[in-house]
Amino acid sequence: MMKDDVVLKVENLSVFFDDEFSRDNVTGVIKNTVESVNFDIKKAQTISIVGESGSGKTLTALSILRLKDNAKFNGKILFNNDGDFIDLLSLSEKELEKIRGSKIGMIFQEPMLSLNPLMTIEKQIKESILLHTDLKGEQVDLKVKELLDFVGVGYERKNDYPFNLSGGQRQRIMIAFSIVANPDLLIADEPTTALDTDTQNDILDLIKKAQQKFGMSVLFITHDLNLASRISDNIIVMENGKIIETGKDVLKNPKTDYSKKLVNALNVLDNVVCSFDGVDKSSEPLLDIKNLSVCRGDKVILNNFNLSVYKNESVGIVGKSGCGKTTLLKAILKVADIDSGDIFFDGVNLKNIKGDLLKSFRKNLQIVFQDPFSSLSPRMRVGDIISEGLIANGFDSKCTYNTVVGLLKDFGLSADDYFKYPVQFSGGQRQRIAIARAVALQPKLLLLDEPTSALDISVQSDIINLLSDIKNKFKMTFVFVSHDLRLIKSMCNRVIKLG
Amino acid sequence: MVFSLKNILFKNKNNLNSSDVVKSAHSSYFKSVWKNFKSFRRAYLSLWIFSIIFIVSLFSEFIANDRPLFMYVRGYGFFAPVFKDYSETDFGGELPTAADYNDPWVRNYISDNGFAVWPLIKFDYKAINYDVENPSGASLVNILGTDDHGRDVFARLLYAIRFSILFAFSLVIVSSFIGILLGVATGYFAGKFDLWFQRFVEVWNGLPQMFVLIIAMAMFAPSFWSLLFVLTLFSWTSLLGVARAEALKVRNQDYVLASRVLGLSNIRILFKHILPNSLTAVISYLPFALVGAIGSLTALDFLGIGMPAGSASIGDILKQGKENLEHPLLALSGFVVISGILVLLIFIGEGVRYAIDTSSKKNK
Repeated sequence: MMKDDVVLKVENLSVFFDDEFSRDNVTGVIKNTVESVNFDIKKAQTISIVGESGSGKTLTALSILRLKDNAKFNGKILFNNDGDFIDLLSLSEKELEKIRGSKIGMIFQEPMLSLNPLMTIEKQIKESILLHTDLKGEQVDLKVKELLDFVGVGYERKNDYPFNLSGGQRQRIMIAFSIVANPDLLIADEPTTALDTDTQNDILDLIKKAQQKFGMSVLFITHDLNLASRISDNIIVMENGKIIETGKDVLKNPKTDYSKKLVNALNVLDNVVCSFDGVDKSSEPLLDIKNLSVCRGDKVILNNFNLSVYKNESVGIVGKSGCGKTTLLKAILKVADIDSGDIFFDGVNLKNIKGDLLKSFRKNLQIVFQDPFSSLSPRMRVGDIISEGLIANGFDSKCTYNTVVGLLKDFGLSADDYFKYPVQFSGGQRQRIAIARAVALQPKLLLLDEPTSALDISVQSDIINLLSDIKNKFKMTFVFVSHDLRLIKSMCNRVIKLG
Repeated sequence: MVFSLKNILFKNKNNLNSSDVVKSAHSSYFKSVWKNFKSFRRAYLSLWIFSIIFIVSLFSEFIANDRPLFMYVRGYGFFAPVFKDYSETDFGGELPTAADYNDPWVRNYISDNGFAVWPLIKFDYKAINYDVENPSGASLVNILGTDDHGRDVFARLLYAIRFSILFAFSLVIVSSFIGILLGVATGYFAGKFDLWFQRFVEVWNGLPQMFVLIIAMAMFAPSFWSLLFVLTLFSWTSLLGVARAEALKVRNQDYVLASRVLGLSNIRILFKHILPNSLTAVISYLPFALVGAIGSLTALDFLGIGMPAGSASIGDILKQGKENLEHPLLALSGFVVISGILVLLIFIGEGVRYAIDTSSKKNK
């Protein structure tokens, strides 16, 4: 018989989808998206599932509560329901509803999507309490107060709507939801990924606090090996739907090649060599921002901001989300309006740039965006995407074609990729294309808006290597926006904190 | 010279090599859309039925006509009256005027001196059957009877279907061209231009359409073009909102910002980025726009302010049905045809929307 201290036991779980995409092209056999996964979670334990996108980690977690409608399962998921084990996969939808929320809680990556934007948080929590517990009348109000105070949002904010709250506070509310009925298990699916570093730690502390108070087990899904090894009793590494390694010390002592690759990718930051030769602070700065202020309505986003970036420098800009990093970049690019202050680029005030001068200014200032999926037009070929800027700046078609093919080859893509569409590429390849587009014009200054944060760890290291190559080869000046302090530390010679 | 030639050759070769890749990327998208559409049985079936009806109606002259498809008269050779007007003297008759093939004398003359191959229905939309009372019920000669002028209802419906569909296509093409272009432009430029243009559109939509249509149709001689113009006046706004909403969504995408930063002009961004990326959603509205266009044309004809009197139209048949309630076949056949076509188009529209929109897979 199973020991009583096991909360959840996953036995030989396979998940597959019965649709055209999951069939093998040749044989027509349905491929398992998650294959023969085994693990168990003991009482008050924290287990992490680590893996890159597409590894099946989230699907595994969603399968426990059968939250993926069209998925089909093999195997067993045994849940310790007050002493007797029940197979969650064999329960009817109605029986499962009694487990969801009351016995097993769940929090997601994007809290805004999980909250009703038209209801106050008090109402939403009340609803959850009435649904999952037997509390009535005043007890409910007391419970709301207790929960809000516990998660650190404060009872005085009970009448706020989700949009009044910051990302971190919304995630706190989600945690309040999930612990309403003192569940035995909390499934946390990348709960901190959308948050900045400071808030991330607060949320982790809160989850830990809740765990200690209610004695629940936590199943933590993340792509961040560092974070996983900090908080968990056991780490499960997944790749392509299979568990490839289980252990406590994956970070220190990886056994399989894949884990080694993941750990190495983390360490690559320490080995990046960026040269800052020829940074001459006595000369005129390449970019000089003086007393910049930007407001949106009544909200002051940037207030008297000053920054000088010299040639060949790499300046890192860090700050919480919403502190005006993106607004600053847009102001530098002259695509957002500024309220007061001056931005000088190469000695010219951007205010005075118009017409043809603007075109040549654009050529010298380019940007790489965070999300490679929204930064490439899905209806254009890769070659057209990269050559667009060259053509707009008067290069002839022959020269453009050769430049683009050269760039593709330099960036680890092939000449044939010229005619493909962005959908045919992975995230990392797309980011290479986006960087190629920005570098094609050989700008003097390259702005990088979190260029790696939307990518998997192993891909991140490729992009970082590529960027440092570009920096060293073209002697380009970088302005680097990121919340990844390790990245900033290795790529930048100077850091500015915003907000 | 040699160098550039080499370059051109190199480029061409490369183009050839890669065209397969392009094709596969393109075709895989259209393939999957087509596959999705096919899996929506009702829409796929409707598309077949609609296509058959439309193609058959395109050949109305060969199915319902008051002149032979083909005839032979001894001593004069072969004639194809479907394609060309002949006078009786051309094939040995007496009158120098255009031949009336329903005239018993002409019929007898042809059958005595040769033969004629007739279409299935021996009337076109304006040929009158003088042998029956008007309107008359179904008979072997007029399978759906005749209307109050003695014209064959089946033939009139056949010609009307063709006209309605062609008219609807023209109207949708013209009005969606204007609507999509303006919608995408207002969505992209946003700001003041968008604000004022939207107010203008609201006022425009607030005009009492029917009255304006009646006044406008009284000003112009009724014809295909005047109807198209007048109906375009009010239908161009229908797609404007969708196109604008899509463009508003797309304009905030990073790739649009990237293009601005690369120094592209607004016009270029509009046509290379905004338009292609907004079009998908707009396309799924087109079958419904067709439904609307056929509906408006029928309504105008029913009210008697549409196409000139005597032309074949579904609205006209319905009007006659209203005026001749003792002959229910008139109203019934008009009703079956108009509702049939509209239902088919709506099913097709559902299928298109299903095929394009990946998120609606579940609630089929």
